[in-house]
Amino acid sequence: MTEGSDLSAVDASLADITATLVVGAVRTDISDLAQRQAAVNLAEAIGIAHGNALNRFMNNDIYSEMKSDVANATCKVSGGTANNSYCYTFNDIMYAKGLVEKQRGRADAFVTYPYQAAVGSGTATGFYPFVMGNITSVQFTTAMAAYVASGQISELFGLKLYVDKVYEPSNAAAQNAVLGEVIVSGESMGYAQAEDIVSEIQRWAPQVGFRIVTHVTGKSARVMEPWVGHIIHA
Amino acid sequence: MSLPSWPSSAGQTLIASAGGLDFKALAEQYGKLTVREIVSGSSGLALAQLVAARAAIQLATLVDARKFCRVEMVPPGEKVKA
Repeated sequence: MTEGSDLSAVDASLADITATLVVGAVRTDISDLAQRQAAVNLAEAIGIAHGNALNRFMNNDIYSEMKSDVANATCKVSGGTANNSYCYTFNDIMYAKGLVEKQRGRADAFVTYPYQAAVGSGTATGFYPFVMGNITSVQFTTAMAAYVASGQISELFGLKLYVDKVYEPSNAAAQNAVLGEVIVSGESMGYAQAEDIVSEIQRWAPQVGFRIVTHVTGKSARVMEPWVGHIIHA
Repeated sequence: MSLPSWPSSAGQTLIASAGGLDFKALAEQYGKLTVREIVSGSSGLALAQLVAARAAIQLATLVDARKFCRVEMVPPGEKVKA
């Protein structure tokens, strides 16, 4: 600014992010035949099943939103051809990270899936095929040294890893199938949480038993679209 | 936090939110009871509490995508007074 002159107002073009809430629910029916069972054991089994189901529901919702804007910041896997799957490489991850940081995002997380078998005449895809593809590479063995020793890796080049089966595309060789995404934690994506986990139990005489329903209410949204760097199939 | 409960007679529903529930403490409290005892007595809400608490624990064992999201709590709004 010039000394003595007023600052010009800047229109930041801020826009509201909206999300329409949805309910995720899972139901288990308990026959009266189970009435003599230990309650804690039954609750444990149902709780595990309901927790798994609701986790899948919420994660799938978040991943779907993340993947729905592949045209924004995208790199295509090296060597991918139509109908033949190819796993991403270090180059692809670093390029996706660069796409986010080019937009001034501080990329700090990488989301992907564990494994999908090769499609067509391509290669298996996912995080573990990526790891195995590089363990044999002299050039990158050092970067994978921690994994070779411990079998665990929580960060890769400063990116916290989220490896989730729910993230897996139905066909990694499909055009624009998303194989992984580099994001900024807490900023790229948002989740509107209206209701935490709630369980209900109701007597259901027509089936001579009880119905147990567990549900959550929430919805994800893309908050900073340029800060989701996609790695997709060609 | 537990929501208000009703008698566990036919057609009525018992509701429990996982927020603030301690599954281990609940399991110790109700460890010796059968399903019949827990849903028909005065502690009818307990089964819903146990399921909700255990489901919440299960989420902690899995990849929870909310961890890399900015989570905004949606206000519950006010209850309509009769």
